[in-house]
Amino acid sequence: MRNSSPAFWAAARFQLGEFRRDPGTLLMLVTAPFFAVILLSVTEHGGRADLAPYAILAPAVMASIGMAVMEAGETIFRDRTAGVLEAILTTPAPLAIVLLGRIAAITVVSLAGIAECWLVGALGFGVVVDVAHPLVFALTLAATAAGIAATGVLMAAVFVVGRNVRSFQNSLTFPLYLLGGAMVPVAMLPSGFEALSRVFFLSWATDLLRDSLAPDPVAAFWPRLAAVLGLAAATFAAGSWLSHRLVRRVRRNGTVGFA
Amino acid sequence: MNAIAVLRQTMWSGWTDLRIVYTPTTWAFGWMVRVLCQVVFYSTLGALLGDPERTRFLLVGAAVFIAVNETMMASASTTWERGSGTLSLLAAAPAGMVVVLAARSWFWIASGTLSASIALLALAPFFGVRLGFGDSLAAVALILLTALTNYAVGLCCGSLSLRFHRLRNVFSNITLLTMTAVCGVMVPTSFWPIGVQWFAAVFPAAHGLEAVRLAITDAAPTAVLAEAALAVGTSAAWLALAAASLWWFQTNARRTGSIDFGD
Amino acid sequence: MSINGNDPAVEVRGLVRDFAVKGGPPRRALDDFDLTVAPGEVHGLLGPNGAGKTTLCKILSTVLLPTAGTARVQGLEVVADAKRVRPLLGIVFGGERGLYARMTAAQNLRFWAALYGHGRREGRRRAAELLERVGLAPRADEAVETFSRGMKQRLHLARGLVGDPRVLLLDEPTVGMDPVSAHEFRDLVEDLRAEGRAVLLTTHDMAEAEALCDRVSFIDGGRLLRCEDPRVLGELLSRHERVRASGVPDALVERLAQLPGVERVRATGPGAVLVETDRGGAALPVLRTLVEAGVTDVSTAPPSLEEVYLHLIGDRGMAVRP
Repeated sequence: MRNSSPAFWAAARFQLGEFRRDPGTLLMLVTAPFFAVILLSVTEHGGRADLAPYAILAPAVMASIGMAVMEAGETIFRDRTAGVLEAILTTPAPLAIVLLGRIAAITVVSLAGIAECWLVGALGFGVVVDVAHPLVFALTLAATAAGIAATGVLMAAVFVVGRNVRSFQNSLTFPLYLLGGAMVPVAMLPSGFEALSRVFFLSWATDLLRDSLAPDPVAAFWPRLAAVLGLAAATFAAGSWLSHRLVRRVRRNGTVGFA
Repeated sequence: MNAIAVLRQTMWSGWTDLRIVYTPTTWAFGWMVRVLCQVVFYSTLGALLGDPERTRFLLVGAAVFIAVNETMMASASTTWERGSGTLSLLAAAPAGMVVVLAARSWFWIASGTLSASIALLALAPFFGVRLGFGDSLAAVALILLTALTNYAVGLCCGSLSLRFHRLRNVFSNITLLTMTAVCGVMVPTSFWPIGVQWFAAVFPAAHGLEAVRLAITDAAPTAVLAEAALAVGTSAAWLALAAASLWWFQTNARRTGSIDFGD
Repeated sequence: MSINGNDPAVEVRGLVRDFAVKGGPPRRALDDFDLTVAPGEVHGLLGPNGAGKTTLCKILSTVLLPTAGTARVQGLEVVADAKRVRPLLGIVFGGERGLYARMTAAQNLRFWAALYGHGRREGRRRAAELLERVGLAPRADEAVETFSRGMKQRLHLARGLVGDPRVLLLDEPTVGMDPVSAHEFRDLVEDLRAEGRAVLLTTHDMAEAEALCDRVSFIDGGRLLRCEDPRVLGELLSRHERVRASGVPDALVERLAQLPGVERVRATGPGAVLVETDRGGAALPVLRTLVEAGVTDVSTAPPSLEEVYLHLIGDRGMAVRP
């Protein structure tokens, strides 16, 4: 990993350039406010003002994880078709680091969704959500962003060899929203699914984020934050390992094109 | 031109397009998993609210709107013509771009009806919605109607997307989410201000969904048929708009030369 | 294992690579292949399409694993020491792939520089320097998709040099280039040799191989056929002089074939012939006969690389390997 940090930053800068070159990558930031309207209408119609923070947080989380996953696929797909992926494999930089740089940039930009959804609540529904525990919120948000980036790397690794990239991209979003407890806490899922969701860092992160917005004191913050960070790290390790394995497989089978 | 032959050919092209987008495996394990998760995602909001009536309302809305979701993809698939360079050939062909593009993306209607029906019938028991055999049949038939009538909206977006290629996903997503918000999918249309309610009435999907809701709660058949008629009526207007838009695109593009071979 | 200054730049021994084929026996792309490139040598790899040239490049650049055999770059094994090999190699692709089309030339180079571990400032410096060197400095801030084929190729070369490698792989670099651009590109390769870098150049352009290479290896069907200095290779065919002439009437061709010491008279075009002799001094009567008959377009020369190639490989230069 000696000289890897320049590769990370270069990949991040590349991705920021891509946003300028192809604004379509920011689609989820356009749709997030709509989701905010939809979810807020449900909570307001149900007369549950206490659930308004849920309705504002959910679209932001959905946009972030959605962007990471969609762009993960796009990135690999584009690089494969342009013959750039194998060029990356000939350089000393590990593929996982290049992927992480790109997806980290996406994740940071996607956090703008939070501001968007907050504004929709404030301006559209007259609902102003206060952050009751700002430090908890900030730390959890940072950990969540790390986990989202790690999930993106894992997805991208899968797409290195996958053929039906496009079809599976679209299929990942809602399962992740559901298992991540984006809107409805996973405790409300049937027990089998809840157990599965606990392996996913996002389920812990969304619970913690919601608690940080509520006035009650946050229970067991540090252990839960550790769970988020630990699972995020595990996800990245899995993504890194998988990309290593799949690249090795590609090397053995010779399935990445050359000149 | 031999209209039947043209239609048959384009529908066959459309079918092969579908087979490229979905294999049976990716449809079953990819798309259907997403569909089911999406419907569950919205339906569990009812559990969050602690209101079983809400849950049933959300389930029906979310499931039926899968058909709307899929037929909106006609917006993107319309632009595949452009991507594959066949647009210029179509513009030159006597069959007329309008007929061909309309027929080309028909498979979304079939796929949308199928996935929405499966979602509704499979998930209904889990969310407290009881559907007898008659109700189920009526629901599926009306879902098909919803898909058919919404297709015109998808084509309209598609015609815009031909002109503004980069924004094709933006158009379809914004339209879909707007409909999801105001057409009585998640909350009754009465929740919104009167102006928004009139706006929502413009969409065939609002009436198709209402027809489904009425049918499964054993409302009077006349009420159901009235909503169905409104769906068809509004759809005809959207179809005319789509045709006009495509015709405008065709003439405009001929003039400005923006249809390229292999664009 | 450390890098020894005396190690060959590239050393390949008994390299084998098989590719699985659906419903059939595996296809052998490299068959017990040997190759050595000395430090500072420009080594050509000549062969028809499908001969295994690109497969060899892929293995050397660590993108592909061999089935058997060893390959070393500056003494380091490409499988076991892949991580240490990568910084040592510069790969220059041919063609449209391998560059980000919508980024500018400078942005592309800075990106690749970072992947070779150079910090931001160093990357900028290198990018500017390399663009200057390959003659792309005026177009540094233009998107690569606007570049001509020749310009893209020069950018590929700059990209290959971004890690300052001592060994370069050039995989069919001038394919599809117009003659002027190809000529300019060759000058750049000459500069590389002058800098003491080792170059492995795959090509099926004879003129290029003849002009640039210190040694040439012929590859066909994944096997090494021959490895020699291009100038010496001509001796493979004939130690004796050959006479080329054009504007030769058919009747004269018959007479030439009868002359003592003439091994063969080959038609090389309408009215053009190549007379191969099999003993010293046999060229003289041939020349005399031609001149007396009024043929003025006459020359003697050792065999060209193209003839050697055709002799070794046969007339399948353009055929795709089954």
